[in-house]
Formats: sequence, structure tokens, C-alpha cells
Amino acid sequence: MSVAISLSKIGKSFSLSNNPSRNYFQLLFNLKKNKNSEKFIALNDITFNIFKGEALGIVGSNGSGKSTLLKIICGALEQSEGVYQVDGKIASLLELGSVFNPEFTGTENVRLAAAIYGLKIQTNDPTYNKIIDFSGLDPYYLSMPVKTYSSGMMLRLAFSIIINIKADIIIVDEALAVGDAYFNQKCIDFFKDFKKQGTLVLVSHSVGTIQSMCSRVVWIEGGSIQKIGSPKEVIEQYTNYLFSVKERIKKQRGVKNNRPNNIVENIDIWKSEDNSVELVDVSLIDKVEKIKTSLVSSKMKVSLKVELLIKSKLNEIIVGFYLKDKNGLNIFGDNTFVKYLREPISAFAGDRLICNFEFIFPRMPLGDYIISVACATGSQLDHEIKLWAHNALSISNIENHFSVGLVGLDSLDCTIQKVLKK
Amino acid sequence: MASKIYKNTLRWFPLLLLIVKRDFFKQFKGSYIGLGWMIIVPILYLIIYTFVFTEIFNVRWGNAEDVNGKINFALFLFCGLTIFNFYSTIISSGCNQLISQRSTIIKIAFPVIVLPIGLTLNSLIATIVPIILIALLSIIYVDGFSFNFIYALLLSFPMFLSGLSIVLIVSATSIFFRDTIQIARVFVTFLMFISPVFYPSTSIPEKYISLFYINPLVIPIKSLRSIFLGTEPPSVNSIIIYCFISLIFLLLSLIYFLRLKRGFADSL
Repeated sequence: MSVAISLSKIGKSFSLSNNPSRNYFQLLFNLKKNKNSEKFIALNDITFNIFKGEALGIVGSNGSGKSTLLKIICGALEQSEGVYQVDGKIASLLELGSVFNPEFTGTENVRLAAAIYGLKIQTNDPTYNKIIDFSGLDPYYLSMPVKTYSSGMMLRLAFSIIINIKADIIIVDEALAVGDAYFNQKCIDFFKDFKKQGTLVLVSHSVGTIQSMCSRVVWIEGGSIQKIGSPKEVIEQYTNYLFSVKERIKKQRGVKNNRPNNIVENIDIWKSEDNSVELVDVSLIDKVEKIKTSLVSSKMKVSLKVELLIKSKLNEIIVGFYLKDKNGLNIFGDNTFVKYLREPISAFAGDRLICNFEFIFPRMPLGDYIISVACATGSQLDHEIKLWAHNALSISNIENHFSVGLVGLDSLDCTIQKVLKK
Repeated sequence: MASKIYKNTLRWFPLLLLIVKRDFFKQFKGSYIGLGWMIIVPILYLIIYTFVFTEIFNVRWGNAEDVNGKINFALFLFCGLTIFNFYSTIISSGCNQLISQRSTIIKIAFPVIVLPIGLTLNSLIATIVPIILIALLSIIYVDGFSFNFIYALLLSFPMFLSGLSIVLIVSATSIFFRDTIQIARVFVTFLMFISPVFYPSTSIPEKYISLFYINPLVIPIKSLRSIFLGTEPPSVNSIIIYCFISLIFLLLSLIYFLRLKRGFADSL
């Protein structure tokens, strides 16, 4: 396979002194960069190749350096170290709509945007028609100033320009969700088709999208490459990293955790005033592999482990959880009330409660879900909440199975009976 | 190297044309009179300045009281103002030009240099109507048509070169030092008084004359006045020297711009 983009030891650092004049004299007189000055290292020693005809996904948490890397590849930003080579024309969706001038009409903006990419188009060109067709904009709007467009229309037009300028490499930065569902589907279809002859670089926080579109994934964290490999492998590690609290605290803050265990620090916990319960750990365990996981799929046997530390004596303890989708809609949940109805659990200060909810993960749409955990005392109807961790755990459903609506169907059979015309 | 530059220039030429076109029409977008302002504004200026200087300040130039004297003075003033307006637009717009295109520059790799070139060309286009106005008045009130008018066309070349150099320097510097914008404001006013806009270049004292010619406005103003007001053709030699100096100046400012360009995205 031939290489479309080759990156070798790319590094980028920004000066923290915020002193543009120093930068000015360095550039003007070709001075060496002052090594001692305080710098923020955005990228460090990035080396990998992107092959022609491949769809490469880049994942990483916010501020990990993904966008900086893309800007360097596009040539908008200059790297501090290393070299890179690009074979082919790059179009990038980093800048959706940023070249548009609000006072000018859609047509004028299309021509200007295309010219910025070195393409001269007239209104009777096939390329122009393709752009307009793809955007699905009413011809009436094309003669109106872009400032009258809705943001969705503007993005659709920008998107259509980028993908129609005959680029060899398309870079998409978190922009697949630009329009309505119909347009989104059109974009995804386009990319699937484009992958056959072109190179696609995709940055997204939605691991589902990466999983379904890409053949290889690079995970960048803290400005350096953590892992390159197959989507499943990399995404699993990445999501584990993202949601495993222990690692996050160690790597990013370098702070020692003096709490009893790896309690979640950045989650939103509500506690009753007596502060009688503390959340120690929440984790989802794959029952088959017997490992912690944050990736689930339909019909997977999982166990949700909730560990609590009791600070003062409690009677009739109930522990429960909810699983919510990204819109905050409760999908399902369970609690220990019924199971321990006859002999309610009591605990004293210093006791630990380890609760396990074992269940088969239902068939659900792809995407990210959040698990909330709560602890209360009393009964199902009349209880007092002691602790409520709203986003204790985040998991992703990555099974690539078609599903309509909120719940997947465990279909038993599906047939068509044909009754012939007499 | 040369062929690469040539190829790149050819490739970006359509973009330059579109940017010139866009910036040109941007000035008039949304206004009722639209392109008409191109003609109305210079005429209004001409009337205001003529009125203020001949009626209120009571300045006399040439032969005193008659209408021709007034028209002559108006033309005299207008030649100076047209050139001054060209350079003052270039300086003040040049400061903000790259800063205002921030979002494009930091996100897309494209030849940033088309922006300064576009600004210079547009400023040059803005001088066309005033020059035509001067030529018309000159035909009617001064000497009738003269082939010396061609020199005005010739003059646009060194003006483009020196104008572009100024935009390159000012626009690149203002990215690193925003103070440039304030300095430029004061400087534009200063420039108006050190250039022979309101006075003939002959009234400069002998001891300052060499300093006086450093000012890039002097030769264009002088030449324009001798084209449209004088009887003798303008000094071709001085225009050629002016071209030459502007070209050297342009090369230096190009180097300056291209060196700083690598840091634009970081500093914007």
C-alpha cells in the first residue's frame, strides 16, 4: 500500500509566555527557540503513516492534541519538530463554514470557498451542480446572502463543498452530525463510497462512528500516541482509560489519591447531609472475560459492581442503578429492594457493601450510555436517598447491529407470505 | 524554483480575482445606492474641500478670483487627496486585514499573500473614479485632452508596488504587535501633513527637500498634478526611479512577510 500521509516525529509546542514579540524576532531573524522558556507541549513525537484508501480514526479526550495534529497535516499550523509528507490534495472539514462571508450569496460563497482550495468553478460546472445537489438547498436560497441561512443550511453547504472538490484525502473533525438525519445518512453513504478510492481521516468522540467507519484507529492522549491498531482493540483501551478513574487521576493530575479506594473524583455525587455513605467504586465487568469493561454489546453478560463505604449505622439499605442514554432518558434500572425484602440489610460505620447486579445487556442502539448509582434507606415507596452518583460510569454500546427506536427487538421470526393472484 | 513560483501564482490567480471581487462588492453590499457611491463619494469630497478651502480658508492658487482659479485649486487639491486616500486606506485597512481573517488563516492552508494583494488592487480600483473625474475637469477647464493623461496609467504601477509593500509590512506586523493599529492611525494624520496634499511641493524648504522625497506620496502627487494641471509632461525619469525603488522595497517587504508568515497561525 502506498502512503498518503507520512508523519515522522511531529512535535508542536506553544509558548506559555504569551509574548508575541519574542515570537516575532525569532521568526524574523531565524533565531533558535529559547529552550528555557515555559512551553506547553501539544504534540510530542507523533510518528505514523496513513495509507491510501484507508479510513483512519483518531480518538483522544478533549485537549489531547487531535485538532492540532490535523491542523499541521492541513498545513495551517507549522510543526515545531519533525517532518511530514502528504501525497495528494487535502480537504478538511476542520473549518466548516469559516470561509463563508455572511453578506454574500450562497453561490458566491461556493465559488470563493472552492477557489481557496484551488478550484475554479462556474455556476454551470458539473462540480457546482454536484455541490448544490448534495447540499439539498433550495435554489432560491442560493441567491440569498449566507447570513439568512440557518446554521444547518450553512454547514450542509460547507460540507458539500469540501467533499466535492476532488480531494484525495478528506479530514473530518467531529463534523458528521451536521444536518438532519437524512443529510447525515447521505454523508455516511458518501464516506463509505469515498473510502474505495480516497483516504479518510476521521476524528470523533463517538466511538460508535469510528467503529463503523474506520479500519484503523490511532489513540492520542496528552500529545503522544498511546496506541495504534484495529478499532476494537484501540477503542476498548481508550474507553477503559476514559472511564477508569484511577488512570485518569494518575496521568492528568499526578495527584495522590488519599481516599480509601479509587473513588470517582469528577462525577456528580449528591449526598444527604449526614454523609453516611461514600461511593468507593463502580465498575462494569464482562462476565465471560472476567475483566472490567466499558464497551458493551447486545446479549453480553455483564455485572455492575457498586462498592460503598458506610460511615454511620444504616438500616434497610437499598442500592440501585439507572442506565440513561445521552439525552438523559432512563432506559432501565434495578435495585436490591425486592431481593432483600424479607431480611433488609443493615450496616455499621466502617462496613463495606459490595453489590453486584448481574444482567444480560439488552439490544439497544449504538452509542454512549451513562449509569447512575444510588443508595437509599427505607422501602421502594418510602425511602430516603443517602447518595446519588449521577454519572458514575459511562459505557458505550458498540455492537454494530441495526436497531430502530430505543429498544432493539429480539425477533423470533420474520417471514413474507406471498399469495398469488388467481 | 522560478517555475514553481510561476505555477503556484497561476494556480492562485482565480482566488485572487475572486477575493478582489468579493472585497470590492463588500463595500457596497446592502446599501441602496450601491455602486453609485463610487461616483458620489469622490464628488462630495471634491465639493466639500473646494468649498472649505476656497470660500472659508480663502486660499488662492494661480490667478485669483475667476472660476478657473477655483477649479484649478480644486483639481490641485483633489490630485493630492486621491493619492493620499490610496495610501491612507492601505495603511489603516492593512492593519486589520489579516487579523479580521483570523478564522480562515488558522484553519486553512492557502496563500495568505492573496489578501494583501487583493487589498492593494482594490485600493487602486478606488482611485479610478477620482482620476476620471480629475481628467474630465481638466479637459473642460484646463487644457483640453492631452496625451499626457496616459502617464496616469503608468503611475499606477509604482503605486501598486509601494502600496503592496506597505500592506505586507503593516499587516504582518500588526499580528504580532497590535499596537501597530494605534500607531498607524496617528501616522496617517502625520502623513497627510508631510505630503504635499494641501500645498505645492515647491513650498518645501530647501534643507528638507531630500527628506521630503523619501515619502512615497510625493512623486505620485507631483506627477498627477503635472499631468492634469501643468503644461509640461511629468518627469518620466523620476517615475522610473520611483518604480525601481518601490520594487526593491517590495522585495524586502516580501521577505519580511514570508518570514513572519510561518508564525501567523500561532500568533493570531
